[in-house]
Amino acid sequence: MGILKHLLFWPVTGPEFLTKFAMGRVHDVVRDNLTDDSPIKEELLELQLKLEAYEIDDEEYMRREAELMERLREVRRWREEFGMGVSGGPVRVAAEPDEPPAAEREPEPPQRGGPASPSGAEIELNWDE
Amino acid sequence: MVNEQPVPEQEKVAPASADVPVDAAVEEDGKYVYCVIKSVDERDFGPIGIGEGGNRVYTVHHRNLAAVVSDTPIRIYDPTRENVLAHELVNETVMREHTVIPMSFGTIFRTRDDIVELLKSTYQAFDDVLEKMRDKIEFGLKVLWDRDKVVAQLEEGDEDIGRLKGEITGNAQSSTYFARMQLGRLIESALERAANTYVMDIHESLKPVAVASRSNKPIGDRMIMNAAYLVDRDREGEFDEAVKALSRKYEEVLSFKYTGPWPPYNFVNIKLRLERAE
Repeated sequence: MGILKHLLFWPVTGPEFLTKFAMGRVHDVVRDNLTDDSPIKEELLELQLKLEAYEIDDEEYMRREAELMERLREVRRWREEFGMGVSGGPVRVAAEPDEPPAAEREPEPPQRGGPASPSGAEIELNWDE
Repeated sequence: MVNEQPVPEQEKVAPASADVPVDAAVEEDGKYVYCVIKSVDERDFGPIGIGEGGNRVYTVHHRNLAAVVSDTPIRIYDPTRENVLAHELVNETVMREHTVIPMSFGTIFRTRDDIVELLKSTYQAFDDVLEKMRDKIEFGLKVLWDRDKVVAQLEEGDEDIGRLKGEITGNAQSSTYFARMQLGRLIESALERAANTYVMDIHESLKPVAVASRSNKPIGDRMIMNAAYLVDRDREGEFDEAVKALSRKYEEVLSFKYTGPWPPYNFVNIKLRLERAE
């Protein structure tokens, strides 16, 4: 809706607009939380460190690792649900018929793992100096 | 030097951590790719592949490039310690004789032809990067500190902190709340400065013997440094000595977790264009 219409009809459209805006923000935050696997990966690294420092034994490590793997799979499911790139698995998102052409979609994070197509690769060197 | 990684007892894997086949009913066969090397000759690295049963690890070629692979059902490999160690073991074995460009954990191709196609379409880039990485190896360095010891040192060495500490202990009951708050803040910022000083000194000492470095986010609250260094194979001894000298210098307060040699996991990033799902 144009800004002029917004101003004219604000008493009518304002509340709805604000609700939608707020819900959109909530949706974004929830989505970011559901689809972010970096905290889980950090926990995994921390857990491995504890095992190596003999702060936990193999049994406890295995138990907690299994929990973290389940959470990683959960994140993967959500990423697929939202049509985002997944790491460590094949991409299974159905191509929706009304999906916008690739150019209009947001660039996807690099995908890792899963069966790879032969369409090539980019190779980057990460050097600080 | 060896990687300090005790292998956990595999039989204790809980059923819940089992890998998830993409489709439990029909498991197609694919190829797990570990790394890319330069080799014209077909190689067999033995039955050390990822997954149950220890599949044979062998090479798939295009011209003088080769992908190091093993057969696998097409599935998602969870990044469990067991699986990651299996991936690393293959790369370590291969890098004894070759310069390797490691693939990300979990990369699976459907067919041999797909792999050849990747090598063909990215031939130049692989060739360049392999040339740049020739005879270079990666070392990991994690530095942890003993916070209490550093705090004790600060209390002795820092005038303000020492004085406040004295005030508080001499004044057991009254008026110490704000002094305590202030002491806490002073210690926090002194700790941060101390960590930075350690990290800078370590980094400056290692930089001259390394080709490049990457600093990663420290893990947990005791780690102050989590870095990777790329080192020329023929300077490995020098780098080793430099790390040992640092660990002696700081043995009172810091502990060094030094691992490697690794393939250049932190210095090469292969972004595969993976298939969109159907």
